[in-house]
Amino acid sequence: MSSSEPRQDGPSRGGTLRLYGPGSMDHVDPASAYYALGHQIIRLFARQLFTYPAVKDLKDWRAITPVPDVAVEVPTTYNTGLTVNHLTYTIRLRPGVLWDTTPPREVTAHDFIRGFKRMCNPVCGAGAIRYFTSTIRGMAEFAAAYAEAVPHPDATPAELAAFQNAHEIEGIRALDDRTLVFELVKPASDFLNILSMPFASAAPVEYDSLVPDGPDFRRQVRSNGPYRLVDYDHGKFLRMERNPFWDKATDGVRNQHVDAVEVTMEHADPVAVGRKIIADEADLSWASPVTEPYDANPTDPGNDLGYALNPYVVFNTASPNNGGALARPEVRRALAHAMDKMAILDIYDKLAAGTVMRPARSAIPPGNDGYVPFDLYPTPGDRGDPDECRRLLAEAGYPDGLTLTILHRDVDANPDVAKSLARDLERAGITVDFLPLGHSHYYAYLQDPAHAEAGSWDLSAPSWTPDWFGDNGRSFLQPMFQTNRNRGTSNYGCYSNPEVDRLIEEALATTDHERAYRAWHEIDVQVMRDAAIVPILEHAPTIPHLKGKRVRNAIPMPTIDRWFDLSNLWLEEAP
Amino acid sequence: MASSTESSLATASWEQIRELFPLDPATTHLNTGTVGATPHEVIDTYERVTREWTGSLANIYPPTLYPEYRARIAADFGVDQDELAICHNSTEAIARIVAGLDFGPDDEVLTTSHECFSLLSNLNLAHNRFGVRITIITLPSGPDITAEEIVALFEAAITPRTKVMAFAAITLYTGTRMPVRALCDLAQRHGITTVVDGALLPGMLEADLRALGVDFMTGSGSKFQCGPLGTGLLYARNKVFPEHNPLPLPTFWPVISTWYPLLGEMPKRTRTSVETCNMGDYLQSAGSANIGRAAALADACDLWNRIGRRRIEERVLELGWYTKQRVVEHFGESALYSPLSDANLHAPLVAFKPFRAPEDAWNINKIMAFVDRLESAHGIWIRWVEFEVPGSPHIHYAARICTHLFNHHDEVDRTLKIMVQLADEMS
Ligand SMILES: Cc1ncc(COP(=O)(O)O)c(C=O)c1O
Repeated sequence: MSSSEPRQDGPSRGGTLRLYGPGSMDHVDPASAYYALGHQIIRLFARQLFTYPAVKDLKDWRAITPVPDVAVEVPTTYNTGLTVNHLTYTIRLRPGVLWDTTPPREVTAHDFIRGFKRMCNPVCGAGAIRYFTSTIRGMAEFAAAYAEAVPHPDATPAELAAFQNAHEIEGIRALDDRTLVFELVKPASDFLNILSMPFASAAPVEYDSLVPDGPDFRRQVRSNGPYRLVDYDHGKFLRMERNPFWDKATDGVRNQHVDAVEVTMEHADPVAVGRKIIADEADLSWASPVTEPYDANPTDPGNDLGYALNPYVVFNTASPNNGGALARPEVRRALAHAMDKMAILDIYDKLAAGTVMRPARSAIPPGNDGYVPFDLYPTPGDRGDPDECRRLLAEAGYPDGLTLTILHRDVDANPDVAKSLARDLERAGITVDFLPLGHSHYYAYLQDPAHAEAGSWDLSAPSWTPDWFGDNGRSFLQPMFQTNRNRGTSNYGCYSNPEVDRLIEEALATTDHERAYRAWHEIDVQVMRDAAIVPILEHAPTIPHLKGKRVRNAIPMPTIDRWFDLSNLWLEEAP
Repeated sequence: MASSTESSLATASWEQIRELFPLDPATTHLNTGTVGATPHEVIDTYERVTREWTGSLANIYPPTLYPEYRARIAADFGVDQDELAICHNSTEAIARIVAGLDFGPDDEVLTTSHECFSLLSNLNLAHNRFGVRITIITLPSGPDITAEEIVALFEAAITPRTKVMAFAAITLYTGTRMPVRALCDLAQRHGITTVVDGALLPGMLEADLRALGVDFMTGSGSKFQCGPLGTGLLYARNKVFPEHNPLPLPTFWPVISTWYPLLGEMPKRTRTSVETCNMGDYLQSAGSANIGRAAALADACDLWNRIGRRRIEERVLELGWYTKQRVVEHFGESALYSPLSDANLHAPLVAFKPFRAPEDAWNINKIMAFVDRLESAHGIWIRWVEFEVPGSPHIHYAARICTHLFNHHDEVDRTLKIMVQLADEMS
């Protein structure tokens, strides 16, 4: 080997990986965490039955295909894991996966069942609970009984545990400590994707005495992954260190190269974040889109990976403001005409995030199942049509306009986006107030229907990236639009249309891929007809995030919005 | 010499017949539904014919049409060589039938959830490929089911679009001998083509495929027929005998064929009982093939004739009945998934739940451990099966005992005694 060749050595061990930026986890509790940044951290301490491997080439289908995590193997009819009617999954658990408890204890099938029950808790539940309740036999009934028995969001751990331990989800059974059986209500070709969601993490018995995602939970959260949280200050700082009880022999996807991971969360703009990384004061960005210089513009990855909606405007249909005007589709349709999508595209363009984006018109963006282009609210050049908005508002009985509050994050492009939307609405005769929130509170705030019902906001501009790819018809429509008014919901605006709810279940019952694709599209048309949201931009799923010079083997994961898999990278100190 | 052997086999005791099979005295073989035991002489034929052809410079293509073997085997099932091909197993036969049918997107296939994966997966392939709709009904199970009930279930599920009914001659999960003739009558009344998965039929029942009125039937050569592994039969009705099946021959494409013309079409198929196009040749000629395998299968069939197919049928049904009685005695009638009261549905496959607790019927771990321990601790070879039960949200798992001509009553008694003990220990 000549000395000029690059070193081919394996991973280096050691060092503290430093992330820096304005982001925050939404929740620490895997049962409710539903934000890509949080999932980047949760991957380090909470394991699921299945998960995604880190695969360098995003065009490689393996990057988006679940592999066994705590499960021993992918269930098939040949290994007797999947029955011929595709309704029963028998999943065997690896031995030797340990909780970092004192003394360390093996992760069991019962821990997974506890995890599934916790998703239904009324304090802070899973945003995509309906992935589970519409798929697993008896889980909808369990969730309904839970909501009825413990209806208050400030229930005590004892109340929660009492219900959970006295009731079973009929379609989930532990045959023994290492065998789980799931019975489905209908075949679901995306079931392994659903089981790969961090919601579906195992939960140790210790969680029975903690408020879901409460302050004690955040202090006492347990790990069965390569790292554990040793310091957590919500929205400010977190530190993870090696979990001494994690054994690589039991984990086919994660590693433990670095000694520790630290995230410093500060109000900083992308330029400041980039400067820190270049100055080697941080290794990776935390939330800010800071792009690495690239040779070839990474335009569309060309492999049909689903685009994200980033951002979209969600209406608070539960808002009591303006006499409940936003509950009315005519009003929302009028507002949909006002928005200048190109102005927002310009804002994102200035960020030079290095990704393809276009004005969005449908709830399902390209590359995702159910996507068919259509536009119910066309405006010239996607520039918005304030006159049409004003006319339709008058028609709907609001000739004098409305007063609306825009809730927005106070970081990155968000304040500019809010201002741009406000300008559009004001042009149509609407008065706009702002409610800025820090990153660390934004999603948790949106996920609490109490805020929607109180009318503290009327519209906001979050983003949505598909939870998985390929066969993902449900991954926009079900969490965003199916009725869900529990705390933790990702149907932020409390949109509820029984017809849409029914059509979603119908689409889920369609095993024929082409027919299902059309069914999802029809639902997209229906929610757009109801103007539940206004899609603003669709983003191609590539952001070449900037990496510090010590960082090696940083592999972006499509399922966590192209953030890097922290469990596989390592740090190389300069020689 | 030959004739004296024949007469002796026809009257030989079952103990003597058992000697024809290379059975391991330390094991009890109760799983012929998966694979039978190949008799010594069939293995000899396989070896001899293979040696004869090995290294020979002869053109192997003409003999791999197997005209003689096909004629011999066809006669055993009441049909002719132009209707029969020797293939590798029942799965291959079913795949070639499904792929050869003339499906369009408006067609529907009616089948049951109790079919072998080999049928259901090929139907799903046809669904994805041609848009055919697959309607799946779940057969009833248990001691009280009747043939009428099964026929009525099919009848209720027929629609104007139903083009094919596909079902097993004997189901492998609950061991239900389907009312094939009655189902074919039903199908014929509606102009429906019948595809019968007869994997378990050859060697178990004396059958006249023509009289059954089926359009297509598959068969395994290595299960009840006890031929070598890698042998199967494909029957395609190729003549019209109105007394059995008056429907015109369904359009059929002999996929996997080197006989199919390179230009133009096959000869027109007949509308009468006189062959005009040897479908068997089109199906049989598919490149080079193993001659020893076909010779051995023909030999196994021959051996069955010498023992007497009717005699064998009576023997296996009697053993199956005996097994059912013992299961009922030890485990109770409610433990049975196989038919009991309607003798027309009997087959020598007996499926039942060995454990008392109802929820153990859907515990895959228990049934797997049960079957494993029977084999490892007692040398008893059975298998477990899984299937849907109407109205139950669970997949049910059952133990399946399969008796054949080489088994005897003592083996059944011993096995059930051990099963009772084991189930008790595990309950
Ligand atoms: C009813 C039935 N059909 C088909 C098959 C598959 O048979 P083969 O192995 O010959 O393809 C089996 C195997 O057990 C069976 O029992």
